[in-house]
Amino acid sequence: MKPHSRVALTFLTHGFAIAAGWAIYRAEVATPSTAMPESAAARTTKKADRTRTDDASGEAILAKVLKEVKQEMPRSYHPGADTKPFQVSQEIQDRIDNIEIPADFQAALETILASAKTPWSKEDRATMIALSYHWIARDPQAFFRWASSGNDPQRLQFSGWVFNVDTEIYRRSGAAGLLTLLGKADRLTGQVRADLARLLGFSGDVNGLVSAADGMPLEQLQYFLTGAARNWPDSKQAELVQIAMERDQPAMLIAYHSNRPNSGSSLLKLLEDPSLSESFRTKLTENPQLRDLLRNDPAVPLETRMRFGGNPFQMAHNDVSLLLDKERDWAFAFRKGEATAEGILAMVTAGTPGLAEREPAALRMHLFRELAEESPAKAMELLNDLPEDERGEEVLFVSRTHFDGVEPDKFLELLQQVPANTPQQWESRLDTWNRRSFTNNERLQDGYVEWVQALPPGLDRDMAHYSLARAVNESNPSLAASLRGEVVDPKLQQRIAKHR
Amino acid sequence: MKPVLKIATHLAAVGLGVFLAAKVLPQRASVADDAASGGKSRTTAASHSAPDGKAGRASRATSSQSRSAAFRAAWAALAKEPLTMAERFTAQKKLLAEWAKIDLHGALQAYLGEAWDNRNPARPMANEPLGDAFAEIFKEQPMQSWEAIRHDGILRNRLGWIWMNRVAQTEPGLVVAMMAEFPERVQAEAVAEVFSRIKSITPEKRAELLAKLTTSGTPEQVEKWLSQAYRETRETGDPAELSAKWQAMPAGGARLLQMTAWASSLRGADLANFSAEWDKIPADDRGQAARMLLTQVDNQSPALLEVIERGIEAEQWETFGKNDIAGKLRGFQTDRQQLAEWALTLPPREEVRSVYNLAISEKLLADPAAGREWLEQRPAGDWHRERGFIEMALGSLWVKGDIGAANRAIDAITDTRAKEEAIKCRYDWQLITSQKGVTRVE
Repeated sequence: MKPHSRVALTFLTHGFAIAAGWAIYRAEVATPSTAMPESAAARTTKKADRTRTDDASGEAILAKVLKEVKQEMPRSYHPGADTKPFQVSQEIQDRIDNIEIPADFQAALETILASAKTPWSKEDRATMIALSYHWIARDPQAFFRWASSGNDPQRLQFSGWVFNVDTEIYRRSGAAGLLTLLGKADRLTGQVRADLARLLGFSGDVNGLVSAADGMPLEQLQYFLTGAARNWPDSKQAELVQIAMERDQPAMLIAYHSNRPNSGSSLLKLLEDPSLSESFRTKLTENPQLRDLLRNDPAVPLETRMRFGGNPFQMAHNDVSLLLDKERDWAFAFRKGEATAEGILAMVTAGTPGLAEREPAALRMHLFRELAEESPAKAMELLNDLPEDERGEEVLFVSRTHFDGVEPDKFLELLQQVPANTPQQWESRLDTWNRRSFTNNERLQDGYVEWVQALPPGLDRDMAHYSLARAVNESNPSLAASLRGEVVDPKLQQRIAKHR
Repeated sequence: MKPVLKIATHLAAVGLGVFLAAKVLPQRASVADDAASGGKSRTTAASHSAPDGKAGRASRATSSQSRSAAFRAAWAALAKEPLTMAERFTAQKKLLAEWAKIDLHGALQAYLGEAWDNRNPARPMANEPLGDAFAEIFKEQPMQSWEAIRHDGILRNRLGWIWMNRVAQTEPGLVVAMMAEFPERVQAEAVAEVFSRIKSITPEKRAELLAKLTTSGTPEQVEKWLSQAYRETRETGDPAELSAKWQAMPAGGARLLQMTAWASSLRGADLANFSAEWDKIPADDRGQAARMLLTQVDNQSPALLEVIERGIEAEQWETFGKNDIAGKLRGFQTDRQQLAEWALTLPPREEVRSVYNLAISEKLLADPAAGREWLEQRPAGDWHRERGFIEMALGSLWVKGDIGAANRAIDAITDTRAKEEAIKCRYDWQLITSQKGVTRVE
């Protein structure tokens, strides 16, 4: 081959090679799944997908939410458990120290109020609090006169705002700083007094509380002292008992305990405290609120609860309600099939052993009433020991007296636990329809009408139409007439013919 | 050229071909990437610019389906967590609020699957403790979210007022324009929210919204809404000027608006001023004028009884039936004996029955023996006598919880139908107050 021919051939074959490369690319991207191995781009996408799935899986979503709930609602929290003094943020403290003092406080505050968006930004909030702090320091009467005037909704947020200002005044000047404001706070006097009580309580400030109580008008004293006691630190309980006795204020100790877990048991322990004077102990014992707290605490021995006026039926109702939210929301778990009725009954029995031994039927009945609203058919196992007639009557009674606001489907599910062909319960069945159609129509309006109209044929459909017609008869007579027209049960038709 | 070199240069040429193709065909490559990834989650610029847009929609839908499935899984798994009621409500609200952002329908169905009553100890007074979870999405996407709830009667009634409340804060005009779509109770809430509760609405904006209200429903609906708006915020203009103004206007929404304002301006008028204004009303307008006045007066209105009389004179029976006119007598400052005597002049019609009841109830309950004697002076079967005893039975039950007194009142009724009605009232009281036994009308 001649040299020029060889060059031409080389160009030609390399041209073919380039074309082949082009063709390979096209073939690769056109049929990636069949003709070629997985492309790099596809592999990258899959990897990204896997990462995304990990971040946004059901488990991850739930874990994030549960973490937030735990942070926002720590179970160990109760007033007094945390003895750190209550303080505003460092940012607000700094703003108070560094803010430029305006010539006209009112104008400065109103400028922010007019432009700030609710909820306020941290920036606006800190400035509002700092300006208020300095205005109060210079002319408290002018500040409170302005703050008390009008009813601009922005100012409704005042409680948190003023509380922050009061908190900082207390941190810097003690109880005396707030006590001097009491005569000058206009319509916010009550707020400042309540803030002082809370701050003294949070801080466990014995001297501050005593000096403030000394100057407090008699008609405000109990409210003030109980306000402080409610938030008092656990570590200073002995001092609080002392102040309560000196001031003859048993309500302080009741307020302190009522704001904490196991209040009945703690108060029972307090009554046995040998340091109490006999007259003070008698006053405590006779206090109606203390008696109420004692008899409503399942951890207090049954005889003691009864001695303090406990009634077995009411205690059963009380204990079931309390225990159903002990550690977890048991009714919710039951609704979702995560707990059985008998399992929950065992938990309730263990939670109130004295009452369970004395009133097992009452406890079982109250539990049925609570659980029936969640999963009616499954709750029926709690009534297994009752004769059929009694069981039917109990179901119909509960469907009438409970089930306010409960889904109509759940109500129907409960009713269906009672055979429709029992003549002796026909009237009770109609009673419950008459009650529930009234409440369901009140809440769900045309949504309930649609629900009734979609019911399958049978006695419950007829009773639903009849009872709904009763409920809407005055407000919507034409709807009532059309509902009555749907009733096919002869007995109900007779009743319609007779009465309307 | 040596064979090895030949192979190498040809391979390089193939590579160059691939490179050139990749350079020249980038868009194609991007589309293919989508295909390769199964269209699962890619929403590249290329897929958005696909001619029919299907690729983009499909991939977005699939992505949101998969995220919604993740929320559904989280929702189901929540039941296994040992949370207290308050914790559970908080967790559910957080989940629903996030879920609603990517799949509102899925979140709404989950919401419907939870208990409908309020068991949240942290918010014992809330109507819909979980409903607040949708507040943000309702505000951010008002039209899409309304579309998601409006077709379901249950959702419309349970969440409609939350939607209205959220949207009203930023778009009161939209709420007013959509009034007719709301359930009746939400309509009333909307009027209260827009025309009374939101303080930032200026007088000019209010006038604009009122004008819009006149075109948002049927004439009957508009009249009802305007009446409420002016009841919420009273007109302070001069009645004579307002009267002249509406009388000079042609029929329609604008005239109705002015007429309502006029009726509202007469709320506090004394008898002389009220009569002077009433005398100026042309005979043809008296029905409507009486209707507007009936809805505007309250228990502080000196001319309350006269307005009721004008309503009866103009035969505005439906207004008595559909509005709580009787309720205006509660707290009305007048002698209760005289009020009871006035009630005997009311016509024997069901529409004014509640006015009659309210006017006599205090007299009957204050001294039941004297009340009974007063009623018995009327002949047996007389409308005022029989209805009076039914009212006595009702008051005994609902105010005093005294079933014995109610039974004595029922025994005094001579008319069979009236007696049956009283027994039905007693039956309803027994049902509503959860009495163990009930007495029925067979």
